[in-house]
Amino acid sequence: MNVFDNFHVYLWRGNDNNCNTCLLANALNEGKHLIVDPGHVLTPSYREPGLERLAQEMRGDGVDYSSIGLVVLTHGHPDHCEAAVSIQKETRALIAMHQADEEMFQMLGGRVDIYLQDGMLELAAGKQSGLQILHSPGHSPGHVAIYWPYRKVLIAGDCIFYRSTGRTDFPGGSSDMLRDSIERLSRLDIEYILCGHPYGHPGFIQGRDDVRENFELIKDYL
Amino acid sequence: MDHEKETEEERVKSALEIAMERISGLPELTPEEIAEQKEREYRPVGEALANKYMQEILDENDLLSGFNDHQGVAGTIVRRALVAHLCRSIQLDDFQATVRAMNGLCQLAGDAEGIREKANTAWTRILDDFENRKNKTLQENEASERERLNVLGISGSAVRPNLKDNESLKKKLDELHASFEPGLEGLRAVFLQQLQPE
Repeated sequence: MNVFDNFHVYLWRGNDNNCNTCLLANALNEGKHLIVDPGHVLTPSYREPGLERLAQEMRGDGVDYSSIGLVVLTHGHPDHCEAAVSIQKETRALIAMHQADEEMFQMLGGRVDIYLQDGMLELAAGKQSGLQILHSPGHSPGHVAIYWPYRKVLIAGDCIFYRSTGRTDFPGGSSDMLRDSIERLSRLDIEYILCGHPYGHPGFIQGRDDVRENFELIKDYL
Repeated sequence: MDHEKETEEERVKSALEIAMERISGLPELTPEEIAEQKEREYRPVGEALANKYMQEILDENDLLSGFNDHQGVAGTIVRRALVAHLCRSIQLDDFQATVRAMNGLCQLAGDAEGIREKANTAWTRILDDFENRKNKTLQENEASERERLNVLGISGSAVRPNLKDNESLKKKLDELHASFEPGLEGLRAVFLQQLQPE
């Protein structure tokens, strides 16, 4: 789904667990794309072809899968980054994530090229494409959220869902840290939130009012 | 009963005699073999002392007592193994172990010929020089990695290239380590000359 400019959102519609993905087309030099959280290659229970469906949807949007140049991972859980290992092998794309989740990714056979930390990720497409990286631990120690100031989009990973938050019972999880992370994210000027999963909702919250309401609801029970 | 007991004793005695006969038939150990046997017996004692000291199970006074505990050939072997082990712990990539090993060696040497000051000066010079050159290598490598990312269109304060898995950097650092080995060997020699028995 093309939201605007070269920003595409791929909401998971399968039956098994997999994550939502987004893509900034032509964000890098030589027409290379940046993709966030490509998800599973095959989902764990029903063996649904997550990566194949993603590539198919990309093709439908006129985006060439083989031109992925950078994979940004919000965190190191397999339902977000298993396919990154395949993409890395097939397209020689670089992988960027926070160092604290590197070990999880390595266990899947991946190699991290760029460590992300709080600050700006500047892309070739110019000032308007700059992404703010926000270390937002809680769901995992190295979880990052990605904020696109120009379009006021928050790619929240598994920090925030529609009317819900990420789990904190995985290794390295912390509800205190998640609360602080959500508090920090809630102070951003956001018009769109792409959630990590389609739990009870496709996971793309649109509009300032809906975004604010979602924050208010989840902050109530944090 | 008596008859049975006698037979039993005879059988044991006979086995002992056979064993003794076999032993007496063996050639005498040569002096080299005796030395080797002593080495095998006492070297682990010295290494164990050094190990326990390095693991902070023993302190410097315990180390000194252990060092002086054995006499004669045994003492020579124990001391040699202990000193050699501590000298081997002087390594550039483990600052804490090196300092501990040097403190232990200085304790063993007493203040013979101002060895503590001599060693500390040498170590500080080597370490400072190494750290400077290592940081320069890392900075150069990071700059070239950032340049490579820049060409792809990736930059910014959130980006830190992963240098850990960089093969060319690994090679450069290995070469840097190797270039400092003669200096370290000189430092180890300061202690070996002072502490190794003739």
